Amino acid sequence: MGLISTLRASASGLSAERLRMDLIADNLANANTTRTPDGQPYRRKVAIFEPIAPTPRMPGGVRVAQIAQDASPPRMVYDPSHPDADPNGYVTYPNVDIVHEMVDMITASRAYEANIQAFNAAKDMFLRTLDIGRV
Amino acid sequence: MRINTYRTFWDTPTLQASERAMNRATTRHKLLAHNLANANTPRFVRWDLPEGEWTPAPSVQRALQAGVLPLRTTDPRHISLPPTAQPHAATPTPQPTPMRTDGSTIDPEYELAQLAENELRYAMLARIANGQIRTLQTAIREGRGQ
Amino acid sequence: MEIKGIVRELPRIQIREIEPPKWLQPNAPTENAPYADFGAMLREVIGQVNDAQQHSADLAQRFARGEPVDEQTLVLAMERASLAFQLTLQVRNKVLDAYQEVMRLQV
Repeated sequence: MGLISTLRASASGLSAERLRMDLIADNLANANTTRTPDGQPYRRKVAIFEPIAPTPRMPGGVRVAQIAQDASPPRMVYDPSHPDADPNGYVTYPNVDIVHEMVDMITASRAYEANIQAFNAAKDMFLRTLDIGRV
Repeated sequence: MRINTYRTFWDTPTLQASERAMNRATTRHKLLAHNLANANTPRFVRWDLPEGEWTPAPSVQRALQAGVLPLRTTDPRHISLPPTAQPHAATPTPQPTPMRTDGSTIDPEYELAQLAENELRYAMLARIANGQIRTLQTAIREGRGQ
Repeated sequence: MEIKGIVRELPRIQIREIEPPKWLQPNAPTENAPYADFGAMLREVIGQVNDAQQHSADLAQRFARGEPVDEQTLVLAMERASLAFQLTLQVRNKVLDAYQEVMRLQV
């Protein structure tokens, strides 16, 4: 299968990065959500990537092992007037760092484009192979 | 008495060499694509073929044609391969990469450069093979007709 | 008389084992060895043509079944088989032409 199967490997990279960007969008949208439907402040979501073992039919790639919640501590902001303030006057804000998310977004989109290049390279090589011997 | 079967008319050294090189280029692409798919996988170590190994050993060649990536396993968690294939065709190469805090060794720009070089090399090899085949066809036809 | 002369010389002639030429030796290197006769060469080459066709068909069927086959291996095998076949056709044409020419010869 050679080149054809590498298309699947590159596609897996595209899917993974796409999912990552979705999570980043979610994180950014909820950067200040102090109360989610379950009562807790929003926790940053992160995708855990794992390489796919190469086999003859699927030469590698990446998969999202799980979508985990970032366990780092939340931001505490002193604001006694906030409806979600605890008895000490502190509000628990999500552990989302906007700058960090923006950097992640750039990395993800860079990787996305790189995988498109790999995809196109495989396609190009395959089409050239087809032309061998043809007049 | 055995008769000369070393080489046939339709299998010239040029064709053999270009086929070997195309096999290697295909393997390299598989590895580079795998690297790029894992561009953001933490602690991922990039794969590549060793420098200058453009005529792999026959057992490696057979393994490649059987569709199995020959892998050197330095870690028990790595994929192992059939004992017929020689190791050391594809190796994890800890490329020193600055600016990666997540332990991944993938530099997407480097991978893309290697990918482009590989693609162009493959295009040239395809052209070489094509030229050789058309020459042989013309020889058979003695230049007449199409 | 010459025969008498030869008979006189007979005791002095030493019979030596003459080495057969390399290409007749059973374990001679096979590279670039000439063919025993045209028929043997033809049979060998046709065997090679058949092998090329078989190999190409085998790879093509495996690819069609979805088995992992490298594309360039398949294409090159197909091209080689095609070349082999074209060569066979041309040789056949030449042989036929030669035959017809011979038949046309006026005796």
